[in-house]
This record gives sequence, structure tokens and C-alpha cells, in this order.
Amino acid sequence: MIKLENVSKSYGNQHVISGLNLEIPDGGRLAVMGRSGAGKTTLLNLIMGLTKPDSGSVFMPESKRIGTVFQEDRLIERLNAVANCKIVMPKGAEENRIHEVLNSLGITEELSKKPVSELSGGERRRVAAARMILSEPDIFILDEPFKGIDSETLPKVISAVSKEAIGKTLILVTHSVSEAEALGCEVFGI
Amino acid sequence: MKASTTPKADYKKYIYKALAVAFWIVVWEAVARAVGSDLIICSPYAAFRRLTELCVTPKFHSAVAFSSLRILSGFFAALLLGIVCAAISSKFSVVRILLQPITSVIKATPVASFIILAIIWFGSRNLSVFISFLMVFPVIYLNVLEGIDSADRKLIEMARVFGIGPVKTLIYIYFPQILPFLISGCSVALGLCWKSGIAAEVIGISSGSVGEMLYRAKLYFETGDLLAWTAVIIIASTLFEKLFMLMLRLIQRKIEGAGK
Repeated sequence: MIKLENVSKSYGNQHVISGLNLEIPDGGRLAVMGRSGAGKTTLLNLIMGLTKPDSGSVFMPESKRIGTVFQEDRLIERLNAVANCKIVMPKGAEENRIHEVLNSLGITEELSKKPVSELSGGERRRVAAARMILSEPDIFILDEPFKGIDSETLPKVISAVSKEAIGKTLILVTHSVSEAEALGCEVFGI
Repeated sequence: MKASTTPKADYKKYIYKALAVAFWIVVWEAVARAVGSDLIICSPYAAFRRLTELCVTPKFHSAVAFSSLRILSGFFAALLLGIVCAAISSKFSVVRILLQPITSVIKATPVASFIILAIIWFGSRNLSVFISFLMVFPVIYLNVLEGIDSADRKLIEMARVFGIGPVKTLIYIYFPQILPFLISGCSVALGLCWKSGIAAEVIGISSGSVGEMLYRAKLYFETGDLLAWTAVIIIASTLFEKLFMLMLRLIQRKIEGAGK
């Protein structure tokens, strides 16, 4: 279970999160929604341990693997999609799964050989989603993961992520209610 | 990053370089003729002839081996320690703060002061090891530290979240960021280590070194020998610099090419 107890976080004089209490059970699916600047990404960073709360506590099971789609892709630009995925895969994972997952997200073999710097915004988001899936996480953390993905490919990507996250914890930051519903998330307003 | 050039442009570049060298040799010859004294300045031909004579003597080989071994030992020790200290400093600010005055003092102090101190402390035999180490260390340390500082924090966070191991993080995230800084640092440091190492040998009169040969040439006004030994230093320094930089660039290309 992921648990936040009376968590507050400020950047300078700006209070981003004040006295937040939240519990996400194992296997739970939560969509965090709110206006821009409400602290959605800060909440994810607190859960992932990338930022520390000013006060309060964040409990995160240590043995759980996290896989994420960051808001800004955070891909290694000079590497291709396959290499970006390969470096996050756990030891002993089947490497032939890379093409299977990339294909399921609409990344062709030809595209997967190009450095990710040469891909479009939507293609990069899909590579970031593939990387998250291939890291075989226990907790899926997605920060506006479908931004820039065309409407034709979007259902395919949502379905692939949803399938991979069965029985796992999933936390989604989104502005779209339909995305939250498609992933079967409970909505949490921030 | 170096722009790619056509073979024709490369060919032209080499011709221009060769012409520039030829021009300065002609100037040297003209000055030597105008002065008319081998004692003050000998002709390029006389210096070259002396160099060919020296090349076949056992004394030449042992002096070149003596100096190269010591200067390069100093260089590699500083390279290794510079990288290790930069890595530690990037993690622990207390180490960075502690090393800051040392690197500033080394950079600001005249090399002659260190040479005289080192003669008092260690004698002259291995003087050039210490001096070349001292000149190279701050350059490598500061350049590598700058490279580590400039590494993409967001990618480092990504590696942390996904649990990417330290070796992969080093190869895929840190190395590509650090290598350009290391290459630029090594390029500066290699010139420095030869110059300061030989200067140390001249001042310390390290027995059997190239510096000692230079000192003797000065003592007996053998301008031909002086210029011949200077040419030897330039050739050895340039050769090693080119080889080492080539090796670093090959490593850089291999790392940048990984996963492409």
C-alpha cells in the first residue's frame, strides 16, 4: 500500500500541497486530476521519492518496482527505442518482448531503429510507455502519458497499458476523464 | 562536435598546414643566415643533422625513455586521481570545498616554485613525475567535475526511478556527458605535462633525462643540440597527444554509437 500522511510541500512561497492524506491499496487504480499547477506532478514525485515532503510522511513499499511515463519523456535522445527500453529491463527479462510491446503501441521495427530524437512527440510518448511496460513494474506511474498521441493510436496504447497493469497499482495524472475511465481509475481531485 | 569534411577539403587543409610549416622553416633559415653564427642560432639543416646523429645513440633512447616514462606516469596518475576525486566531489560537497583551495593554489603558483620545493622534498630523479602530476591534476579534476555537474539531472532521476544499475547509468548517462569535458581537459593537460616535466628536469638536472640533455646543451652553447632536443620533445609530446586523443575519441564514438 502507498500511504501519504499529512503531506505538505512548498516551492519558495508557493504552497503546492497542504496536509494531504492519501491511501492507494495494492492493485488500486487512481487518476489524479486538477488544474495546472495544483501539485499533480509534485504528488507523483513525492511517491517516486524524487522530492521530499516539507512535513508529513510518504510510505512506499521498498520491494516494489516502479515504472513511469514522465511528463517530459526523459528518453536518452541518441539511443533508439529498443536501446531505451532495454536498459530498464530487469535481469533475465526476455529481450524479444521489446519488439512485441513496441509493435503493440504502434512503433514499427523501422521506427524502433531510429534515435528517439528523430521521432515525433506522439511516437516518443509511446516509446516512453513501452519503456514503462518493459521495466515490469509493480507500480505504474503515468504523468499525462497520452499527451500528443493521435486519436487513432490512443485506444491501442490505453488498452496495452491497461492490460499490462492488471493486478498492479496504477496512478495516472490526466486532464481527461475519458482516459481515467478507460483505465478504470478512481478519480482523486487535487 | 566536429563537422564532417570532404576528403578534398582535408587534403587542402594538410597542404596549407605543410605550407605554413615550410614558411617558418624558411624564416628560420633566413634568420640563421642573417645572424651568421651557429652559436646563437644554427640553421634548420644543422639542427636536423644533429637530430639524426642523436637519434642513433643509446644515450638518446635512454633519455627519451627516462623522461617519457616519468612524465606519462605523472599524467596517468593525475588522470586517474582527477577522475576519482571529481566523482567523489560531485557526491560530497565537503570534498569539493576541501579541494577547491588546493586546485586554486596549484593553478596560481609558478611551476618553478613547485619544482624547487619538490627538489628539496624528493630529490631530482623522479621530479618530473611529481611536477607533471601536479600540473595535470587540477585540469582533469575541474574538467571532469564540470562534466558531471552538467549531466542531465532528469535522466539521472529517470535511472533512479527505474532502478537502472550504476554501471549502466555511468555508460549511458554520465560518460557521454563527461567525455567531451575529459577530452578537452586531456588536450590541455598533455601539453602542460610535457612542458612542466621537462622544465623540472632542466632545473633539477635529473640525471639521464631529456631535461639534462637540454641543460648540457645550454651549458656548452650547443645550439644545434638544444634545438634538436627541443624537436624531440615536441615530436614525443605531439605523438602521444595525438595517440591518446584518438583513443579517447574512439571510446567516445563507441559510447555514442551504443544502441544506435
